[in-house]
Amino acid sequence: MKGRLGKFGIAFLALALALGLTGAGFAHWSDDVQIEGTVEMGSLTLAFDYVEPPSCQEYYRDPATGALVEGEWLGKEVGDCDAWFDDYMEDVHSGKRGYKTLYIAITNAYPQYIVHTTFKLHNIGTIALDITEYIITGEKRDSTGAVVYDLLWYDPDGDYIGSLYEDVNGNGVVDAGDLEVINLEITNALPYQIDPCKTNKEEIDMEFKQDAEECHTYTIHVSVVAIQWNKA
Amino acid sequence: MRMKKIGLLGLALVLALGLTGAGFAHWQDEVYIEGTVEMGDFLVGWLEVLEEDDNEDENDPIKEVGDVTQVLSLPETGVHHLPPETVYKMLTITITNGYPQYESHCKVSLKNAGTIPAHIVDVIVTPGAGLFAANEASWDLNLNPVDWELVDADGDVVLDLVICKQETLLSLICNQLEPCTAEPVDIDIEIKQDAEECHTYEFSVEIIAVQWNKADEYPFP
Repeated sequence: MKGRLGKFGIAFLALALALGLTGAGFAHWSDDVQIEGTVEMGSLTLAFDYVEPPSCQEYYRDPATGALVEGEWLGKEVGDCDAWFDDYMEDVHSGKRGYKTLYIAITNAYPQYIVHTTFKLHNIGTIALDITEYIITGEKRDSTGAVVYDLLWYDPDGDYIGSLYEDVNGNGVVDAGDLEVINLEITNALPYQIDPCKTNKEEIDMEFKQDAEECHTYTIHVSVVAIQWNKA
Repeated sequence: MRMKKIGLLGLALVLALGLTGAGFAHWQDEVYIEGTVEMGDFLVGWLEVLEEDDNEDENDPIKEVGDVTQVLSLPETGVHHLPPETVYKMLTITITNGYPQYESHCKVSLKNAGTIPAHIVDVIVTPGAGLFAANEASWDLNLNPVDWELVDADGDVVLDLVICKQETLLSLICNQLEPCTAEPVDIDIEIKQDAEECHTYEFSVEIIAVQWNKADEYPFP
């Protein structure tokens, strides 16, 4: 018994010594400093202006001079146009308000009916942005709402003065047999920059061509693309 | 050793992805424009036959010898109308058992059943079987034709055709039809002395209307 206790005692002593030596090896004082990083990200938010609503204006072309004259030929009220903003939004960062979508509705249109729509873009975020691109698509629909043809944007020189064609053969490119139905022009020249809190007025002009078909509806979608100014 | 290689590969991948992110990362936003264009309807046609008569009741005793009928065909419906309205693109006038100095008097209504004002810019009379030419014979105050003489191969006048507005007797040409508006029209046909027995004479008339804002540019190139 005495011998066994002696063995345990020796083992315990050895363990204590080992721990003590280890402690002597690692023991030291320590201290540290910390970095607390806080990054408040800005917001990149393009909207249609909350304050100024869009407006549209009819024109006809004076056959003698070719100049545009407000209204319709001989003062008649035949076609009609309306424009409004929808999809209200707020930038959570800046608290500024605006709209995401501009609707343009034209009724009882006819060849050489001309409509100009003006609207204001507003940078309601906190990051400067560049308007870089308009993506233009559309469809032709019949009286039941069924899609007859897709509309193709044709603007070979990229200045957004071009035409929408009915994709008659359905191959996705403007070529022989496709019909030009709407002349469309969007100002301003791209790219251009809008600083935070600043606005810029734009215009989208449409003139309907001979091949635009009676009793049909043409739907046009335009995405106005903005990216941060330093990546444009 | 193998683990070390895998580690190096992983590190390289992370660095590459990081560099790619630095190259392409940007914020982007968009707004949208939705345009809807509903095209109008340009539709001019015959609405209804108002009357068909001849000159036989001017004789004494009154006889029923010749006959005239008007038939409307090729219907088209103006869907923008409430309720929708059907007009006809073709008016067929048939005279049977005609003879010299038989005169038919047809009254018919021409209507703009569309939504765009129409301007009548031309009336084209085309000779058909048995006829050779259609010559303008008289004009209204505006110098637009109201009367055509249809001649046979010998140059003899066999039919005289008058087409004019019923109320003013002016030509249909240079006449504007507002949407939903009808214009009563007189169509008179007189058979002349040189018309041959047992022959059939045919002709057609095309009344051309264009949208009112393009009338000055007619004829179009």
